[in-house]
Amino acid sequence: MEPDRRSIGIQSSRCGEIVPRLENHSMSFPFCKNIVKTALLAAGASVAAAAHAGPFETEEEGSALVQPRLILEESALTPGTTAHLGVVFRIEPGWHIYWRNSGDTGLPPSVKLSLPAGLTAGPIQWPTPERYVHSDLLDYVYRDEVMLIVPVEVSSELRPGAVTIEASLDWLVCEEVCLPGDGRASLEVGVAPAGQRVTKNPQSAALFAATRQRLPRSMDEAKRDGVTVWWDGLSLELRAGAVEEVVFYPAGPHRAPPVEPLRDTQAADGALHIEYDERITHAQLVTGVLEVKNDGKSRYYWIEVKGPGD
Amino acid sequence: MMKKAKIGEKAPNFTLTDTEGISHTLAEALETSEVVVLEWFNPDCPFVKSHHKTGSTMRDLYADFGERGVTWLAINSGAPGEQGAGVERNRKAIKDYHIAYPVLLDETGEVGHMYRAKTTPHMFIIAKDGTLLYDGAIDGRMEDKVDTNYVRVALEQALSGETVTTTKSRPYGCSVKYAD
Repeated sequence: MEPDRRSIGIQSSRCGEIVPRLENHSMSFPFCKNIVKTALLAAGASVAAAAHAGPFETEEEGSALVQPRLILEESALTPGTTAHLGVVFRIEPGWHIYWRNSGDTGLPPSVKLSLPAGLTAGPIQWPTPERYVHSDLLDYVYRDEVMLIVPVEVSSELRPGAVTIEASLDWLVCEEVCLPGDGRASLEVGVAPAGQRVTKNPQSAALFAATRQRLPRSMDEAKRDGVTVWWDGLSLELRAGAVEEVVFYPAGPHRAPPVEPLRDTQAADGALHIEYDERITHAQLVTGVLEVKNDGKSRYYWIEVKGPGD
Repeated sequence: MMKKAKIGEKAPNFTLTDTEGISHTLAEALETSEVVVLEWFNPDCPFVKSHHKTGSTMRDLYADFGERGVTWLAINSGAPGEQGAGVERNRKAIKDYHIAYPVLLDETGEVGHMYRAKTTPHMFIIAKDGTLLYDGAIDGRMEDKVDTNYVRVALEQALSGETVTTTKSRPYGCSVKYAD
C-alpha cells in the first residue's frame, strides 16, 4: 500500500484532547473544528505476531463464530512512550480458540498487524488460558472473550493527528468440531503532541485490568513468592509450598512437549514433576506458565529454564 | 492393559475392514511391503482437508513411495455418528480427495487407542520387521518447521536401510473422534 503523504494541518490551537470513542471497527473523534484530519496510512511495519498462520481454506461459519476488534489502553498515542493495543476476540459461547501452545490438538490464532510509520509492535502478551480435557487429550483454550496485549512503541518523531492500525486475523474455533475462520479489525487513534500526559482510556480499563491479572509475572517474583524451580535436563520440578493447587501450562519448545501432560501438569499438593523426553536435548529454553492457586485466587508466573541444547 | 505402540518396539498388530468391506491385517501387509504407513484420517477435519483438498501432501507422498514397496493405510477411528465417520462418508472422501489407498474403519477406536493416535492426521511408519519407526506429525508445522515433511524424510531413510533420525514429532490436527 502506497503511503498517503498528505500533510496534517492543524489550523487552530483551541483543540482539546483527542479522546477516541471506541467501538468495534470504527472510531470517531470529537473534533476541533479546524483540524484537517488525514489518515496517514503508510504501509508500515507489518508484524506476524503468532507462530502459526493456518493452512486452511477459511469457512464462513468459522469466521462468524469469532468477532475480533482492536482497542487501545491509552486515550491517545503519545510520542516517545509505549502504548498497549488490545486484540480482542469475542467467541461464540460453547466454542473456543487456542493459546500460543494449543496443546494436543488445535492451532493458535495468528495476528498480523499493519502499523503506520512511527509505530513498532512488540511481542504478544498472552493471558494464561484454561485447560480443556477431552478424551485423553489436553488443550489450552480461551472461551467467551480474550484479549491479547501488544505493546506498541510510539516514535518520538510521530506528529500529532490520527492514524489507523489494522489487523488481519486467522483462527481455528472449535467445539466438538473445528472450523477455520478469519477476520479484520481496525482502529483509528489519535496521536497526542509530544510531552502530553498519558491518560488511560476509561472504556478499555476494565478489560485491560482483567487481562493483566492473567499475564504471568516474572520468575524472580515467583522465587520471591516461594516457588522453587529444579531442572535436571529431562524433568522439571516446580514447588510452591502448601497451596491449593498448582498447574503448569507448557509453552516451549514446541518440538518437545511434556510426555504425559495430563499426569504431570496439575497437582493438589503444590508440587509438580514434569517429564520430557530426549527431544528436549535440542532445546535452548524450556518455558511455560505456572499457576499457583491459594485461597481461591490464582497467580501466574513465567517459568524459564535453560535446556541442554545450543 | 492393551499393548501400546512405542518407537523401536513391535507395532501392535490389528485387522480392520475398509470402506469396500475388504479386511486388512498389519502383519500381512508387512509381509508384502518394505514399510507400512498409517495415516489417521477424518475427511471433515480442516487439517485433513489442507492435506487432501487444498493441498495434496498425502497423494504426492503415495505417488512417490507407493511403487517402492510402501503400503499406505488410512484409518478412521471416529465413532458412529461422529464427524467424518462411517462407510458412506469415507467412500465419498476417497473419491473427492482422489485417495489411492484404503481407508480402514476403526469405529470402536480400539486400534487408535493401541497406537495412541491423538489427531487427524497422525502418522505412524512401521518397518518390515514390525518395528515402529516413526510416530508423529506429517510435517513440522507445530515446531516452526512447516517445510520439513517428516514422513518423506523417514521413508527415504527407511527404504535406503538408514536409521530414521527423527522418530517422534509433535502431531497436530483435530482430535480423533473416539467413542466416549
